[in-house]
Amino acid sequence: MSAVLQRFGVDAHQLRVLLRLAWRNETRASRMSFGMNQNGNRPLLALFGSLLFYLFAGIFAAVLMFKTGTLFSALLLLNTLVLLMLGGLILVEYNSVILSPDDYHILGYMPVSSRTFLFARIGNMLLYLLLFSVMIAGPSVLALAYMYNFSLPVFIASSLSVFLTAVLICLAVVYLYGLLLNLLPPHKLNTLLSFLQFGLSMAIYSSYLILPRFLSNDMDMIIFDIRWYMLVLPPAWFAALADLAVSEATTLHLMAILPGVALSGLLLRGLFSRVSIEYARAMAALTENTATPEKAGASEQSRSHTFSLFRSPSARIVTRLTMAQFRYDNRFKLSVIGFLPLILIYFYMGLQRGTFPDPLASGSTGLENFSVLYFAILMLPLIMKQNMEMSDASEAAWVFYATPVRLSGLILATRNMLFLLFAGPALLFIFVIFGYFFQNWLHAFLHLLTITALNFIMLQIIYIVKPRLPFAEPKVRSGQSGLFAFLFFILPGIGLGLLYLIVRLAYDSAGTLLMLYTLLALTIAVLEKFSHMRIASVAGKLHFDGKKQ
Amino acid sequence: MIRIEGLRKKFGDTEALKGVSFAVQPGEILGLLGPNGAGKSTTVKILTGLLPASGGTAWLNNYNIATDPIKVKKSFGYVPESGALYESLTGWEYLELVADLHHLDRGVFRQRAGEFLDLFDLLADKDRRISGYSKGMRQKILISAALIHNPQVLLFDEPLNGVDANTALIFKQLLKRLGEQGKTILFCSHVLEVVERLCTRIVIINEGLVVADGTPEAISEQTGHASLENAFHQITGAADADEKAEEFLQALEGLKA
Repeated sequence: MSAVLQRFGVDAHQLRVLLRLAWRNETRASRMSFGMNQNGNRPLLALFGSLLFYLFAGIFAAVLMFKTGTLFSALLLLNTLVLLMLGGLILVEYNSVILSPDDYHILGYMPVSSRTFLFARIGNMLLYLLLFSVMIAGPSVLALAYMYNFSLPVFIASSLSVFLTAVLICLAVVYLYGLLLNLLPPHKLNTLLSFLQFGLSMAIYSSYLILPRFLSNDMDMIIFDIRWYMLVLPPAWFAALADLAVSEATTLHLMAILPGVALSGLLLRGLFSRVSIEYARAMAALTENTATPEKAGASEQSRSHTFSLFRSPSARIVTRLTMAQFRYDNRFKLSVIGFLPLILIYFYMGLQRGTFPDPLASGSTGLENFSVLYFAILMLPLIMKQNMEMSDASEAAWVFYATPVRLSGLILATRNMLFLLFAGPALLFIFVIFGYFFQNWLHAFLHLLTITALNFIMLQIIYIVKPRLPFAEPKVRSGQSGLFAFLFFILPGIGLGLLYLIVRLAYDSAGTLLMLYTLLALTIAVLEKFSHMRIASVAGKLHFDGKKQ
Repeated sequence: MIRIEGLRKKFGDTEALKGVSFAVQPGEILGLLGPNGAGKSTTVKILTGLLPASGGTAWLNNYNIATDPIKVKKSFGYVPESGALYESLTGWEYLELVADLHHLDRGVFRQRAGEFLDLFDLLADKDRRISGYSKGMRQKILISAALIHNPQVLLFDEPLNGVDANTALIFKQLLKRLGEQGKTILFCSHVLEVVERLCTRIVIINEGLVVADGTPEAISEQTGHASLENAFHQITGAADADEKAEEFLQALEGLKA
């Protein structure tokens, strides 16, 4: 083996060492950790959560397999899912598997050749690929084997088809990174990649719109026959392997496999020249301060006006930090902007099942069609809280401790600013949708008032559970505690249940409505009192450990 | 030995190095000095292969860094200014990683790593993750890693950052002994007293150019100053320190008024 690697210019000993290093880094520092990390969280739970999520998607796909009429159709669908999910996974969650910018600073001056580095990166990537591919496609491959009388050729062809598709998408993503690095300056590439991640995430979310329609009972079997135009469809390339397994292959099937094999070969060849220590250097530049300084002028002036709207120093501090984070952190920016298309997608999903009902006119009838939409709206403050806590510059949080700012005031201001700056505009957007569909702006306003109150109550609860300073925690993929992750899904669920209850019980008359708003206002007031006590108590125990985690 | 000829480096429109040339002979400890942004770290990064040069050449142990990067990298030990380490590894594992990448014999590694960690009082913490180390402990690991394969050339970029006085003393003694053993040493620092006391020769870089090269005494003599500190201020064209301090105080008074 060593001799073979040597022929490729790879140092086998160093390769082993680098693979072990990558595994240690990933298993100890991130979602893959098998134990407690520096924050005292249990990333093992996060890993299982992530794997479970993909296994769930895999089971969903396996159900879809039973609706397919041919093996080719089944693998075409499965490969599409693998392409989308793995592509998104690598771009959004596990880009450190291929990027690992630390490598430049540490390995850049070690006697490691570019070839050895490339093999270590790809080897590490293949490991992840295998793990997640099994989750996404494993149930489907088993389902197909069952459907074809436990045929071994079908099992092998399906596994191979999925695996080759997974390899292809991974090679393509790595190659794309390398290619773009040569074309664009790091700060522009950083922005472009963020939007690419955003686009892929949206594509995945949108796919949830389409897939359930395949599962409807009144639908016939899904049958796709291989056609000439499929030669340009990546999911079809290796799906054609299926018909080889059931001895139904034609020249077209063989021709369909060729582009996949050829492209994989070309990508691999291209990667030899692109992925190197030099590539790691460029990647490191991406993670460093790449933002171009803005010219002072009108925008600076308008920001000053924004800050002057808030009287308390804490509010001004939080607003200034939040605005800066929004300008320079693309992920933060996209998580804010990304909410609006999501709302539209979920709204569209609801409209597919029926009209958008005015609950003040028709009660809870038809409301269940828009459960996902309401769930997402109620989840918004929780998502934003997460984003308001973490930052790449968390080490700068010492300033909160070394200045005479009141920490409890800062935490409360963070919560309030979060609601005002992010939930506020989003709720305004939703108000316009309500008004348009209800054809009654008063109803729209009253319904929005209920949702706004529920949103704020949830924000109060989550801040009582976990009060945190703004942008003072390091960005880690496994940064949330089990309790928080639990509340993350449970709270909006409870909120949704409450909304149904409110619509049923309190939307009948002006009197019940008045009682409802009085009750909501009282709840907010009580929780506010409790929030102040709890936040003051937690703030007294906060300390800055000064370590980069 | 280290030899640099006409080294240039451009970052976009900015020319960080405008043709730097100097050489360091075996047994010599060369102090590389310069104000912030003068080009010291850029020079060292080019020497270590972390940055490609835009022009000129650099040799370490007679190997050209541009054409023989692996041979060059095998021959030096480096303490980077960034202090970057794999946080998830333990101190021992990091040293093991560096030793493995240099194909060091396991027995030799164990013996050297044990001795280095003992010398730096880190033996008890060797199995703790680096993420839990203090700045000084990290620096000790970096110094140990730079020496673990016993290289002929040593490049130190601010090696005493965050290190306590006792460790600094050990390190300075070690550096002297390594110089006596014939190692080629390049030492970058902002601390003029340390450089003055340790280095046999000094090169001062300012705005990407070598502006002084000689022994600390010779440089002081050339500028007519008794101390290296004043000579450095004159050579690098820094504003008068008293004047600057006065301006700061006036600004403070102005705020009070």
